[in-house]
Amino acid sequence: MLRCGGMIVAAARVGPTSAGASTLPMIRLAVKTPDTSPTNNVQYEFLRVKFDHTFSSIACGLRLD
Amino acid sequence: MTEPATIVIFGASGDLTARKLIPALFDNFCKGRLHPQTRIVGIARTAMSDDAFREKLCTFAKETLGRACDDEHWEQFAGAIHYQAGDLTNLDDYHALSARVKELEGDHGGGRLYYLAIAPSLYGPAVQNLSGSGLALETSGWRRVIVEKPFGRDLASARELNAKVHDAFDERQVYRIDHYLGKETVQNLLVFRFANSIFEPVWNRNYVDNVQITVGERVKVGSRGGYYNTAGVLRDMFQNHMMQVLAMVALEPPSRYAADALRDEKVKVFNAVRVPDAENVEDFSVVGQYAGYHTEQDVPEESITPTYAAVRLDIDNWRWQGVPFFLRSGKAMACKTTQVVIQFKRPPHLMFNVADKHDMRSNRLTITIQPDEAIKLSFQTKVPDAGMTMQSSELEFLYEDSADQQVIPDAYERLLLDALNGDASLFIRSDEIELSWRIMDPVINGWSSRPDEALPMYKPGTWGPIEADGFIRRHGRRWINDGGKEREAERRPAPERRTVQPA
Repeated sequence: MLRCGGMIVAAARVGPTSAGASTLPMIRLAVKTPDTSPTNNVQYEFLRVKFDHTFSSIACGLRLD
Repeated sequence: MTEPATIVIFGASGDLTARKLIPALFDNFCKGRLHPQTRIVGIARTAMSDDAFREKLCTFAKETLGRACDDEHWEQFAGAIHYQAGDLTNLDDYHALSARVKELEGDHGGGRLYYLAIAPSLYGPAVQNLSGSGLALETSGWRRVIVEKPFGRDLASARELNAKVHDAFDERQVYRIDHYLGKETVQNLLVFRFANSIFEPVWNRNYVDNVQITVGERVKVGSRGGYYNTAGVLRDMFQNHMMQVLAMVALEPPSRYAADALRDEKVKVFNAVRVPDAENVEDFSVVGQYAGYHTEQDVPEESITPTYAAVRLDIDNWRWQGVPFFLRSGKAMACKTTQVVIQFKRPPHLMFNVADKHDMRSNRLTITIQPDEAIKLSFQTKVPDAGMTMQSSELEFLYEDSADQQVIPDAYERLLLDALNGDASLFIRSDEIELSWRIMDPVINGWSSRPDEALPMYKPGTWGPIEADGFIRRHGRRWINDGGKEREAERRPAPERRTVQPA
């Protein structure tokens, strides 16, 4: 992971099979923590790629290669 | 935790009290956020004992909260609930209320929060009588008043109501509520924009092609036909909720999170919105009515009230010059959704050989406010094993997948707590109300001044009248519907048109 001034842009190595291992982008995102009146806390979550669509196609492609 | 206070709810026998206010206060109580010396006094015309009132509220609270409403906590909470019968237009009843509240407060005193959960026609008499009976005086603690929407039905009536309210209360005591601002995902617009550093640099005319704000409801008007027919979608949704969301998307970063700093920035946005010209209303808006609306309860056969509208607004400032903001809302739509879509521009030069470059989807940020609260960012990726073919992929964050699995509280829970704590950040100031009416009045008047023109109809369960597609196409854009799919011009039968002469 690369830490960039508070924002983390992550390249996570993932994959259910060895053949399917690949890199997918994620963005670490500050969002308001729900139900935190009046302090308005911030927590960090990730924007992630949908695995069900994108990952399977990437894994498939790599196998064929 | 809040300070000791008495919450006086006017309109205590209504649905808002039973279904929203009491459950929200109960939730705050269960979370230990209310001071033990917090009292709730309901007032309405119906004669009722304290116990009968508590019993009624308990039934609704259990319906609303389900298992979260356990008997032990409810018994503790209900002990602080009281009822006072009274006519809101009768000053003597306010003196009686004052005596009852003083009796309940005893020597403790404390602040008082008056919640006007009543018909808009009673706002004026209520604040005048609060003033006339001395209930607005801050002699033994703070006094605040929450006013529900709708706040006026046009600019003139909003100004008149503001004047009446200001005769009784200082602006700092007035909390005009728009429950949209209490939604976590609307507040998160501020966090998303100003607690992250990578979005704000592209949040402007250099990178954004257009912004679409959609509030779709699947439901029809149901039992609200009488009210709705006098309001229509433009008064019911646009002047308040949608303008507030627009302000949160478009505002400049406030210097600090404080009520006036935030509201000053919203006012700057409203001041910069180009006021539409009623004469050319069809150039920047389209309206429609769902088929069968005129058969709804309390809706006249000849009604030409719009149940759907789409409006283009332009913001004449440095950040947003040339970026159209499309706002649309309707009843009986294809799905229930509230979402903000930031559509970014296409890359200035595309080096790839794409068959139809116009079909390539540019980056798009979709913020779903409700339901299925989420943030999605779409971007282009290469399709594996398919030459240099591109596909659109999405990065997404779903609140329901959040690590801590926090339950998103109801908007009223947050807003009531803020009002008790004296934080007006998420309430609307008088100038915001008047400016948003100034923008919406020409749209409302433009359409109501041409009642003999055909009112486009749409089939319930669709995305509005087919004319809405033509409207946005004339502005060189396409609607982006729920799930981020662009709406192609649907091949539907020619829409029915209704032409009705005014009665």
